[in-house]
Amino acid sequence: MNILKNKYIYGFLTVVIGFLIAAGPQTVFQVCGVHEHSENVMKCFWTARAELGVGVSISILGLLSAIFGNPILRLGLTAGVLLNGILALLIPTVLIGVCGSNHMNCRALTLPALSVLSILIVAVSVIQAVYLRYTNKEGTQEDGKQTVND
Amino acid sequence: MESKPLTTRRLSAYNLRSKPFRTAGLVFVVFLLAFATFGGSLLSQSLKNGLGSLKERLGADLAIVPLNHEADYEGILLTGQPEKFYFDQSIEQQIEQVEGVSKVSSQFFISTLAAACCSVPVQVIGFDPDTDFVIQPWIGKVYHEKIGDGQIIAGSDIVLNDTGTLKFFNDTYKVVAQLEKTSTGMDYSVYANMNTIKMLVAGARKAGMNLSVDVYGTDVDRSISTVLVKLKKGYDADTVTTNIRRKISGISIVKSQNVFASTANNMDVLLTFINTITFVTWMLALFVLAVMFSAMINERKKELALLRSVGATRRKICGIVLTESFFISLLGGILGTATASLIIFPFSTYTREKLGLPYLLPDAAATLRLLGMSLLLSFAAGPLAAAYSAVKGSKAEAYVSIREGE
Repeated sequence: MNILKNKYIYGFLTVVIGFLIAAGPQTVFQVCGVHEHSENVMKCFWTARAELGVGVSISILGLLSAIFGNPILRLGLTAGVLLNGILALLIPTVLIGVCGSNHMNCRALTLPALSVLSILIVAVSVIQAVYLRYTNKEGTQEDGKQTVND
Repeated sequence: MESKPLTTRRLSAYNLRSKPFRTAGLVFVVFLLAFATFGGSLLSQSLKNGLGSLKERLGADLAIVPLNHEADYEGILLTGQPEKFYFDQSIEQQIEQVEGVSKVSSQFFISTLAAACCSVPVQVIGFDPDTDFVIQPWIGKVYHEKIGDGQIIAGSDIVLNDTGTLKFFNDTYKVVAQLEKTSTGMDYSVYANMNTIKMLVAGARKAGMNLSVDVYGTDVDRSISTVLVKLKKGYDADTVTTNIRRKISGISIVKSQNVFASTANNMDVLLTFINTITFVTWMLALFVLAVMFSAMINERKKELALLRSVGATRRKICGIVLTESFFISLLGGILGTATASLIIFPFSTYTREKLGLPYLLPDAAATLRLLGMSLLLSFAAGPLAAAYSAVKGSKAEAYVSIREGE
């Protein structure tokens, strides 16, 4: 029962956070994108594009971890979400970045929103990974195919 | 299976785990309480800090600007919103002669662009290091040498590149220092001497951006944007304003005390609102918790009576209920303050932009003090609300309670 609950709670959280990472920079906490006068494409535009891919990937992995029951498989999916979460944090902070002025929406709103969401998904995934390792310790067979949680 | 002693703490934990929905509801009430207390106190402290910083920042008693540009000047002062307006620099000499004026210093404003030519779109403020009495006291806190030609000082919120330079109109300028946070427009501005300003304007014209930077046909050698005035002792702002108006026309005068007073008034309304909301939430949460604990004890009368009948003392019963309430408070308090932190700290720039008021987060020590106070209030809320029910529950006669309803 607990395993089932955990599966759905983690799956739901991952799908929602992944969706927000993907769609947020285009909608709720929108980036500046293209400069209105010069029509120059700003850095944050590419950050939003990259986050779209990473966010969708997180949502799909979350959905799969809500579907599959095998703890080893779910541990692998959780590791995937964790790595994508780290990537979602690195894109606006290190890999691509956002615009230079604190006045601009992408720095004042998009950057903190993406940072908070990424840190949340990383934290939730670490807790989930520890939980899966802990609950799976006694039940895992040597080949890791069948467990008491299946 | 290994059996564990049924201590007060373990029994309380089992009770909470057996009713997850009820526990979640109670935790949520404390969560709201902790969120409102920590979030509200951080917000009001930040506004108070911002007001204090604005008072220090104003420096000059009066600012003379071209006619009808008072609001633009206040925008630069409070939010750093890039603006530009110019009048003839001879006005500075005229103001210097006015009775009641102790010191004058002029400034020149120019805006950079949000385009590939410039690192950031900011307000660049040119000042005269020989006469300035407003900006240099702030610069002196971080940079002790005279600011040279081609050098700039950046406000605390300007994001520098790795080489410590900023590019404006395709030319690179060395940032020799970055100011401390003030929560005013200073944080979003860049400072330079007048020779550097001339280099900037020449660069803008060379890059074909004359219209964009909006200096039009302004002769940089003969134009200024504002004259800052310090009053002589014994003269008040109103008298000197009248004296200036008698001598010079076509200007507007911004009084620092008015800027401060209007900001303080706006802030007072907001602070009253925040404090009222925090207080009402706290009282409401305490009341809801007290009602919920009372209902819970009523529902668990038989369970507590059974515990009494197997030897639990009244003190033990009381302890179980209070420990349960403490666990609830602990979880709700930690979650509430953590959520408030996740919203207040990362989004502080956005909050400041939206409020349009000086907003300066407290330092680490003050933040920890507020956190400690909020956690203490949250941790106390549960046991405080449950105290009456706990005593009442422990006093009930076991026999009567068990037979009740038969």
